[in-house]
Amino acid sequence: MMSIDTDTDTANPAETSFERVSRRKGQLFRWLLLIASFAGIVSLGVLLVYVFIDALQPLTADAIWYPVFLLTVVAPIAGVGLFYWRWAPSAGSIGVTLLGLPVLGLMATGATFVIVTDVLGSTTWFGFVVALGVATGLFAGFGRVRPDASFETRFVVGLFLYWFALIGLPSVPIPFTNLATVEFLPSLMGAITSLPVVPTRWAALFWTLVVPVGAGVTSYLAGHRPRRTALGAGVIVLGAALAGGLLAAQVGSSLAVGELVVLGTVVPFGLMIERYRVAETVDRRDLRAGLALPVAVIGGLVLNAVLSGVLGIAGPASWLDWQYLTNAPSRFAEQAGIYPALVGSIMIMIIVVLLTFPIGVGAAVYLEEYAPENRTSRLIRINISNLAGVPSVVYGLLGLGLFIRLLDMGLGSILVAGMTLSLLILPIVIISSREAIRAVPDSMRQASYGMGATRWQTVRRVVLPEAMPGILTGTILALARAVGEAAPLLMIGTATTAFSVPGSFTDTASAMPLQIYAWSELPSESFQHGVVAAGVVVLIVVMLTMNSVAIVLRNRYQTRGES
Amino acid sequence: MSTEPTDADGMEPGFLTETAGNTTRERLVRAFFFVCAFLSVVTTFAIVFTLAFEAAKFFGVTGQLLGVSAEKTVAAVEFYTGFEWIPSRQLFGVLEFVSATLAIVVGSSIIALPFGLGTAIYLSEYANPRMRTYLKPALEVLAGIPTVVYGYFALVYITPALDGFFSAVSRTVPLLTIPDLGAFNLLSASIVVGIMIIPMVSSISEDAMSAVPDDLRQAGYGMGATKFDVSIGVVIPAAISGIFSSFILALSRAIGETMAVTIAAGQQPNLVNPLNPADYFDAAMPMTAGMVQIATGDIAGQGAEYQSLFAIGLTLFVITLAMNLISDVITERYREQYE
Repeated sequence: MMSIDTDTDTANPAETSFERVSRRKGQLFRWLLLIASFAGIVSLGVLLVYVFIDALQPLTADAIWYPVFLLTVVAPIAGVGLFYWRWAPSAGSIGVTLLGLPVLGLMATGATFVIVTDVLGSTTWFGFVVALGVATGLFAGFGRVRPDASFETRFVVGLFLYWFALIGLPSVPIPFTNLATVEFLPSLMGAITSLPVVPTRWAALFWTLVVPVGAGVTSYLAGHRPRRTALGAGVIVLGAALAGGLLAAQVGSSLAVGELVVLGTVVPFGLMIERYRVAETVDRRDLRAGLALPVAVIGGLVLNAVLSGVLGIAGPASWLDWQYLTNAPSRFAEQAGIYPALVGSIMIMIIVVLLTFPIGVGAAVYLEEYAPENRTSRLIRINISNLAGVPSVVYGLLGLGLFIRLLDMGLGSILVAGMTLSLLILPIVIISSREAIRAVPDSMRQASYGMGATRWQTVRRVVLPEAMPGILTGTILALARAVGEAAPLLMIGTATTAFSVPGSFTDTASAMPLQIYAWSELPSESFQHGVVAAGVVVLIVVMLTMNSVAIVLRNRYQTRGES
Repeated sequence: MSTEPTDADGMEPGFLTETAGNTTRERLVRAFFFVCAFLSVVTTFAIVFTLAFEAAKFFGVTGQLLGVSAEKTVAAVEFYTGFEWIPSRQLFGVLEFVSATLAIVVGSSIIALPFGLGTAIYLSEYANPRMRTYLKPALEVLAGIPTVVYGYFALVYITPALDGFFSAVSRTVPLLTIPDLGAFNLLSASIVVGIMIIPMVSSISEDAMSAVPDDLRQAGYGMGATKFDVSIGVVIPAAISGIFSSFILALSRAIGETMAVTIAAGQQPNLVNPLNPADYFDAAMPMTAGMVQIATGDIAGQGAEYQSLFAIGLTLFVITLAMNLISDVITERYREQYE
């Protein structure tokens, strides 16, 4: 077809016309390709704008709200952005990091707080952490006393210690009686939680989260700072957390919330500044300029809130507000919230992370570092790539048939949901981890073997640390996919709407995508264009956060690999 | 220096002296890694076993062998040739679902194949490196948005917009009557499925096009060909096996896609003709949507309807697995080899 076109063109006497015609065709083709490339992205962008407008209702605020918001929030951020763009380009990434880390920290501590207080209960959590700490301490002590103990001895001792810390002598059913179990000896964790005196919520969080974090900060700083400074920093962390708690209690929140907010924001912020100060590549002036962005954003938001409060300005009546995040679903759109589904999603994700990370990385290590070139290895490789193409709904049937029918685990429980989603994303985790491990240069392995290291020592000390950013990137992307999956959960009978927070991992719970599915079947306008839109925005924000963390990790990793 | 192999944790001498590769720890670690890797094979067997076992109880031929009474089973021929799905009347004709699935495949491929292929050509032949670094992650976002969200978009935004557009066209253009678009319809479901599989087509096709050696392009240019000629006449034929395998993979994704079609295409079985555009204006139930309906209905039941879930699932699994294998074979066997 092509040649015919050019033939007719060259048949023309003037050579210029041949050139013109070809160029026009080429230009048209180029434009068509450009349109094709952007059609999907643009249409998705338009849909996202619609859903954000529906969820946030930005046009419902008082008239005076817009100029106030513009002046207090938008203008400072725009100013700082212009400054970075024009005068300090290298400060921009520092600023974004310094702002993004506390935000991430806040999300992480929020999830921790929900799990510790609403799901497990602070007493159980306290017992768990203390028992784990005692066992770890005893195990380390054993290593000190008997440094030349063989691996087998250490293995048995470790198993014994952790078993008694967390499980105790197992409960045994008594035959022919209704008394189901008898406990020979409670675990350390059980003993602590059944003590008559248990710490209050803020104290439990203080001892289990604030103190370890403070100790961690101290030990990190002790690596390159004087001992006194490091100790001081640890004490400052404890003091700041307490002060934050007291401040929060003053303004009507609780001590525990204040503690964790400080822990999640101030500590990552401070540690990042410390890393920048230590790094030789970072200019001090850039660091100071980088501080401008978090200051502008946080200062602007606080100023806006204070001004609106004092002047009595009403902001937009968004569907997505604090109440939406903390309420249970309701028949009435105004009171409906996503809290139980959010908690359910977090708990399912905890199971998924605990299962997929070790198994996925382990499988990738086997295939890349251990596997001999034989039929079994080839079978495993082909099998994994095919598993990645199995529809998610089929994994749901696997969960239904295997976990629920065969193994008789509870219909729709969080554990089954987590295990099913783990099976679903394992192939993805394995494939991306394999790529990360393969990218580790062979010279590093040879150097390690040359020093007499065994294979496991090489894997642990050389290969895994080097491949870790790539592995984390792949894992986070896979987790982001699992957060949004609904079909397998429907198959295993997970509740589409849950009105209360699950009490344990064997309870049934909803998940965010299921809640969205359930709501989207309600025909009323305020649900379709309000409550569901807000749920979609929450889900998309969670996913985009995970995706951007993964992309940042990948970029850092790539730049390091090139240098 | 100790003669016994000591622990390496935190002790440099141990790190240096331990050379034996078959200590207990090395064997234990290796066994753990092997179990992790082998778990994937176990998963495959578990999928096949679960689906086959439960589906066997559904079909009459095999159900008797498993001790399922004849009233509770369905003849396999009836299942694979029937056009009606009415469980209450013991009618289990899966073709009613298959027709809707085919309609989704046809509809979404009309969007995804040209757009995905165009994107791939643009990325591989036209885009500068800077454009590529922004465009590729943006395309990945298309595949990363949860399918529930796509279903919501189709139901709440795309269907009303299309409805308004079609009725406006019907009013203004004489002699053209467009049927009313139902609240649930195959059209908007196909559109969102098409959008979400664009990145599958584009990324695999682009890999295949990037693998075409530059010599071929230079030869084309040397003979006076334009960029258009080279793209259409040289790069696409050279990368055709990769392009086809990307098409197949994307279509297999469309077949297995669940939430978007469940929300947007509706929850009532309807026999449609995938090649008749008018049928896309109605609600229909693809295989995956049918599975959701059965699973969210009376899941506690042990009857034929519950078992039919696994029969549909087995059919779906076999189809998608076959498509994935075919795509593998195409890339392996028909790949143009360049030295």
